[in-house]
Amino acid sequence: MDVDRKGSPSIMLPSADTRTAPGETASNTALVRDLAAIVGSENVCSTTAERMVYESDGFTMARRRPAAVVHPASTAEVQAIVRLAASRGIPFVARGAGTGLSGGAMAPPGGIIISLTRMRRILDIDLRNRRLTAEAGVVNLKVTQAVAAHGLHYAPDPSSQSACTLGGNVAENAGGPHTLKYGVTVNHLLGLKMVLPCGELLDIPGETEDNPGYDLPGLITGSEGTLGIVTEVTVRLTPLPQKTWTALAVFETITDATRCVSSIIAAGIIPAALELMDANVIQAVEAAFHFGLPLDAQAVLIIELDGLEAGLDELGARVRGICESHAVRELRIARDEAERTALWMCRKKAVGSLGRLAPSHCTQDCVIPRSALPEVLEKIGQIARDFDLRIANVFHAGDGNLHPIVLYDDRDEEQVQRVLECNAAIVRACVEAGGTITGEHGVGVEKLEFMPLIFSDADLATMDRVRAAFDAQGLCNPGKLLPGGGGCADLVLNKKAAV
Amino acid sequence: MTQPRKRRDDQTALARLTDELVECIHCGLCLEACPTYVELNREEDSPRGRIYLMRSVAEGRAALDGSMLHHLDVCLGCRACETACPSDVKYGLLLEHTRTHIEEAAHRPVWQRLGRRLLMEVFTHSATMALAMFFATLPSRLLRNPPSAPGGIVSRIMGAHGDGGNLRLERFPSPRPSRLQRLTPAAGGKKLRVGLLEGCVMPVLFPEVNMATVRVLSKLGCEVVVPSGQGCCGALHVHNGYGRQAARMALRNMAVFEAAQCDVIVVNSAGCGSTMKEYAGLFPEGSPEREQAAAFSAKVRDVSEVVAALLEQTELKPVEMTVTYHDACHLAHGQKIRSEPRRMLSAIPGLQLVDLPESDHCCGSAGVYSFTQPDMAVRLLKRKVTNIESTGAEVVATGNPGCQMWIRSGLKLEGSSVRALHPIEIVDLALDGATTSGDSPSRH
Ligand SMILES: Cc1cc2nc3c(=O)[nH]c(=O)nc-3n(C[C@H](O)[C@H](O)[C@H](O)COP(=O)(O)OP(=O)(O)OC[C@H]3O[C@@H](n4cnc5c(N)ncnc54)[C@H](O)[C@@H]3O)c2cc1C
Ligand code: SF4
Ligand code: SF4
Repeated sequence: MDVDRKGSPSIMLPSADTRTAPGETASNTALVRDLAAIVGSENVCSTTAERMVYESDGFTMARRRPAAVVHPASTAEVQAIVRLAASRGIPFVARGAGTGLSGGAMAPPGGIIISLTRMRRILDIDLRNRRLTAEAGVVNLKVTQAVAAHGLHYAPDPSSQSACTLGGNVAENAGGPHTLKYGVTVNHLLGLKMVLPCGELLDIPGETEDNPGYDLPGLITGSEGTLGIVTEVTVRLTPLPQKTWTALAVFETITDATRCVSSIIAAGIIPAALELMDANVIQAVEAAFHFGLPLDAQAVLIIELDGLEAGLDELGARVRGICESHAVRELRIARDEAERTALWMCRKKAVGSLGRLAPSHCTQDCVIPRSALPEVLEKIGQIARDFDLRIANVFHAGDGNLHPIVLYDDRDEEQVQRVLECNAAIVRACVEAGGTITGEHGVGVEKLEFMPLIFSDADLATMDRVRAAFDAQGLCNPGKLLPGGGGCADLVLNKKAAV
Repeated sequence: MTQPRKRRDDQTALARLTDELVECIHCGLCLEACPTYVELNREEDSPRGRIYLMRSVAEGRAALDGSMLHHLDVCLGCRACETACPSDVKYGLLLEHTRTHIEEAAHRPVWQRLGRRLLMEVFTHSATMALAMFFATLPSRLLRNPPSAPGGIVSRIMGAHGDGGNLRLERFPSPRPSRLQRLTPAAGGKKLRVGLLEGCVMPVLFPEVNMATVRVLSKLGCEVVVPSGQGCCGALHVHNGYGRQAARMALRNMAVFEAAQCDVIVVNSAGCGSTMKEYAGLFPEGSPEREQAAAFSAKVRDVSEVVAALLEQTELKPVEMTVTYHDACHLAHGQKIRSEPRRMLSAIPGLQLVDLPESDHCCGSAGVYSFTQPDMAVRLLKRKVTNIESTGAEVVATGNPGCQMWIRSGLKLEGSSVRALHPIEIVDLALDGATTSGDSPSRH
């Protein structure tokens, strides 16, 4: 998926800014001095301007200015920082590239941000065992670039892969268009080093495929930075496919397209990617990139197959047959790498190009059973009409991972309120269809209020206890992921104040 | 001025940019494209961070204080962020307007302001620049050292921390700029009448590039006019916060080239070309000047755009040379020109064009940046030189005099034997032109 809220309104958490804005208080100065003793003064951000830019991540509807931002260069420095924070009772949060879309990397009240971006070294490439060890601040795409010459790649490919970090990927269990076939981050994480909220180091080497005991990497993946600070990861490298077959299928109705998706999967075919763009998106993308998409079509699918050269064309022919049985109007196969790249660029930059349709937009992220796609999309269309808003759809159809994008103008306060309500209605519709509240963007602060929709009190209490087992003091990214966690009730988005 | 009033003035000035500022969706896709972020790894030194700072001033949430000024000053203005941005944020424009406000609202100490103005004037008048370079290189000439100019003094005048060290030059510059012939006829049948921008830096530091440009264009069937009365394009002024002066310079060039009646206006300096293609932005919306400027800009071409097209039907002499190509920011990001210079070079038989890692990563020259932010400029230069060396090429080609000078200086300081040339000089060789700047200089 892609981008989120376009030029979102300047929404503040209640009293958040006033709490930290004056900044240079006595205790703050002492804190900055002590942090500087660990990492050097040039690696602590302390001025108002410097702290201000860390107020939010890719989710800009909530923001809070950190008391300080510290940029360690090693696991040992992270440990020292965490120990310092723990001893003073100061809450802290890890931050990667700040591309997260649910407010996960926003500072807790009075807290500090531990930024991992200086930890960007690839430490070891083990080609024989197809394994790579890197610091948590390494950018996702750099891993693939480092091993591409050897015919390998790092499979999880979020649309933000040119910017987001491995640590952030682990924290959010990031996926991408190709996770349909290759899986999400958790399927590619072999080992990690994590500084626990008390400052101790958890070190799971990941040298063997199966470790006895609890699957801690599995637990930590997707924990949104609430269990500790990941400083190193060991990931699996995947061979590049021998051949790729990429096609654009054009449909007259969105229902034809979604039924086609179900049929492809039902036929036992696992495409590398299966992405849908609706008419609104087609318009914006066409205006931006002039790919030659048909402006009168209601939906297009990008279908990608990959694997061994032998048999791939036959598989393509089968997909063509399925598309034809769903009244495909046209099936265009990318002739070369350049055409394929152009098509993927349309897809990966689709959300950015929506700026051409409206000044602001806001992306939802829900997962539903694939079979429910036609019905839920129709429902979303109805919601759009009910709230008198325009909604564009571009999403990972193969996974049933929806991204309805609400288009609006954030300078109109009344519209903003409607957008918030519309979003809630979409989330509810997805949950009612047997879906869940987030596919890949995480809960952060954005989806906190929806957690009780899918989890019982007992579920949530169990998760609270897991969290407490790692973080007894409740200092590690409190107020995120779990509604009650960390005891920071004021973190629930105040939507009235938000406008 | 009192603090609250200053803050209000800052807000009013930047609030005009609101429509463009809100285009930034805070996605972060520009981060890794930004050379200063890649070096410093900090949000406040990234495009997204800088836009956030501008926006918070525009919203009245923050003051344009010293810390903010510092992080805006560290920006190279290279516009790599624009290439990466899916939302089409016009970062260059945001930065230019913000910098204009910073200079106009007198946010810097008097002596720094004067220093900046002085440097701007020196660099944008060939005659003064030639004299300045002559005196600057005098000590090394007298001491019989290799030609160099002390960059550190300039940095200090500009109020910079740190010191970029001495600038190593190819040779001692002449105290007078070398001017081009006003009219050079087309060899063979005339296909085009082109007007050439002579530039400010070119006639002083790279007269041979200008001469090669004229020779190549003429051989390819262009009548080349160098209209007299033309002046600086205004690029340095636009980029450093002197928008009004730049508008005056633009008007003058528009008039001069209009009178010369050319089919296209050719520029061999990426920074100048990029500015001249964006003259319209210097004038208010709806003004007649804006329209005139747009018509003028429609005729402006980088030399590679014209030459790459004309070379296709031309027979070239082999040039046995391994060349790598550095994308000048104002070509790749400013004008979206990447393939033409490469096509031009690949057309030459015998020439082997090898890829430069991070070819579109700024070299740190960036106008007067190497004087105002010497620390970062030198870091980026070292990175560039290491990348160049890794290719094994004998020559690095780049279409901007600032890059050529800065990279050449960096190569010399590192004791490298790689030469930095303008691509047109290499095309000139293939057309049997004169020697290149790497050899003994040709005088006119
Ligand atoms: C344009 C765009 C497209 C996107 N496309 C996708 C997509 O296709 N698929 C997808 O899954 N996501 C996508 N995202 C969301 C986002 O990029 C991912 O969630 C990504 O994994 C976040 O990485 P980051 O480094 O930016 O983390 P941040 O935003 O900095 O942090 C995210 C969370 O991770 C935690 N965290 C960060 N580093 C660490 C660490 N070292 N240790 C512990 N916790 C840590 C933070 O505390 C926070 O809770 C997209 C975002 C954008 C802006
Ligand atoms: S212009 Fe260059 S240095 Fe400035 S923010 Fe953009 S990419 Fe970074
Ligand atoms: S890529 Fe564009 S929209 Fe995204 S943060 Fe950078 S400037 Fe803003």
